[in-house]
Amino acid sequence: MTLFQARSTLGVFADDRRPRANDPIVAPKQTISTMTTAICAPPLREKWPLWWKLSLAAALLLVVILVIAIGWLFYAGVGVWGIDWPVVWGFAIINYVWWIAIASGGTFISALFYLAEVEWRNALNRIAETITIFAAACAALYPILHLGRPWLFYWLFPYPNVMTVWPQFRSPLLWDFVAILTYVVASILFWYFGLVPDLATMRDKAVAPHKRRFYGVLALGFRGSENAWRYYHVGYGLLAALMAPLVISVHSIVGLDFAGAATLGWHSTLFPPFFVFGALLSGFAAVMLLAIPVRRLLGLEDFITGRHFDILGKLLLTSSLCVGYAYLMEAFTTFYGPDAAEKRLFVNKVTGELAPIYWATILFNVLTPQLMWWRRIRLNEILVVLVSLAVIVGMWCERYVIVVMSLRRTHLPSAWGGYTPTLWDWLTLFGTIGLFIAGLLIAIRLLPTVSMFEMREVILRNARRDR
Amino acid sequence: MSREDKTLMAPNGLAATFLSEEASLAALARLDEANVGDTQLFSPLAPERTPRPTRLPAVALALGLLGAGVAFGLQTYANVVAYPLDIGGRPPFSWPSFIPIAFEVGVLSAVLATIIGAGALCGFTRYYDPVDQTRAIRDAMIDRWVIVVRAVNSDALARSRDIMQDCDARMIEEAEL
Repeated sequence: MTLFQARSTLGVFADDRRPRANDPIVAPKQTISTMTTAICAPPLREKWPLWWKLSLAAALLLVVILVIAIGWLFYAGVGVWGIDWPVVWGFAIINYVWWIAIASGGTFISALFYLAEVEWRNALNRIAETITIFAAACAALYPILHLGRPWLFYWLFPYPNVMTVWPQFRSPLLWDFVAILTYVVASILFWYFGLVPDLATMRDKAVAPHKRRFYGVLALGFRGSENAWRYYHVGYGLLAALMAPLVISVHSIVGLDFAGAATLGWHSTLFPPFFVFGALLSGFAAVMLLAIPVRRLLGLEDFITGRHFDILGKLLLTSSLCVGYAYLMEAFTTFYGPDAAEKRLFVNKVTGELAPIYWATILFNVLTPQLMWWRRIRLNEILVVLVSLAVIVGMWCERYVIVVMSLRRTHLPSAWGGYTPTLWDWLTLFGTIGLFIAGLLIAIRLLPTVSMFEMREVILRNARRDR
Repeated sequence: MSREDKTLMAPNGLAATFLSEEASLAALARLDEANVGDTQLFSPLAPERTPRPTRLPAVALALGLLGAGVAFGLQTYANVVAYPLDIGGRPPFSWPSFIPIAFEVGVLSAVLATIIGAGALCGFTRYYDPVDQTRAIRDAMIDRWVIVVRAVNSDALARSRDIMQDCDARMIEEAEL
């Protein structure tokens, strides 16, 4: 079967392209030439496959819905959402935290594992970074949208103004604004910098003049000279070293948004590391969830192999155990401490009317990933997709539990309230999912999905080892 | 230079492709030894030669610290001098709460310094180079190692060609470089 043909992703897994326990990082038959041709083939094909067109059409439909939802929000105000007193934060914050956590997986894989010099990351870092870009873009929408008067978002910048008013730098929400801005800008630059040599390859592989020009402009004149490689490597290493602490700081600051407030269930030093664990879990789950169909649809089975499934499965399991530990500590510190209101909130969380969401969180984030203890399950594509999807949903439930349950049960029972998301809440959420998928589809259509120049290093190293 | 003059110019350089890094490095060593002129290696991945030190990390660190310092200073000025606010009795100079923004701005400054610095050193946006006229350069970012020689004279050009052939070059082409 030729590359980039429409293939069934979930129905025909019982074939020789299945991941196996003894798979190497890259299939031994692949050489630098064959790998380059295989990776360049999908974006250079003239004809767009049917699965791609249909998926993009569906994703763009969701983007249209997002535009309508945002338009209505701008016209009518944040009252169209289900938020009210005391639950003044709703879907906007839930979805923001959820998306930014998904985004983090890419940075962990591309930056942390680059610094650790692990070879397996080379097949996955491009997919992971692309996930980061579009998930971070979806996340960045929400803080602007929830402002009430979003057209005045620039007031968050410390700029000299006639009102002589400065932003409140002591507020975690402002830290958040700066952190997200830094993360989005740095992620885009890291992603693009990492793409440059591969764009040069695409330029030289492309036959059609318009494609040569397109990739040529994007490649910025990179020709692979020894001098250019030298500085490129130093620059890439530096960026990786900067991105690794950045991703930890972003999630810690998101955690501080909550921990900084004197709200029941939030005011805890556990929150920053807890949010980093959650980011790891949902990030790895997102990479697994998307790497599997991409691998099948683009014919990348020789590069994303059973070894990758095995490692990602173990990482998912490890991060799930970290999250489980955080859930346990949350319960322990609540009952170890003296605050009766905290205890009442926790009991309400596990037995009250929203308890199914709490238990769904435990089921999806802690119990389901335990299946990854078994290698046979780690290598089963359908089960891996299902477990990853469960984690993604579970992480959303976790955010719902954190945001809504704490706000609806304040210290004063007379001020208790409720929260029901409206249609506009849901449409905005689905719209951002459409935006994310549309971005990914366009990226895999135009750009190489696997980092070719890094894959060449693996192939060359393997060839030298075999000699 | 008119078109006629250009066609009269003799080739002064060579571009040769090699199948492996080892062969290309061996050829480079011999070319350097023969002192034929300026040599340059183009390859699909970073060559495994000992990298020379660069000041880029030091520049990134310096600009990162500068960014962090400016951010910290701005927060101090805004909250202490320009717009002091008493919130919960906290002092205007509550410096620990200025650290997260200072850290983020510091990282962003270092990232921008790295991108701009590395980009400039790599020669980004240099869209034309005479070497682009050779056929060989089109394989450099795909699967071949390409050596380009700008020979000092015609003798050196001939010697370069001999060395390339000895070192198992796959394709040798003469060019005006």
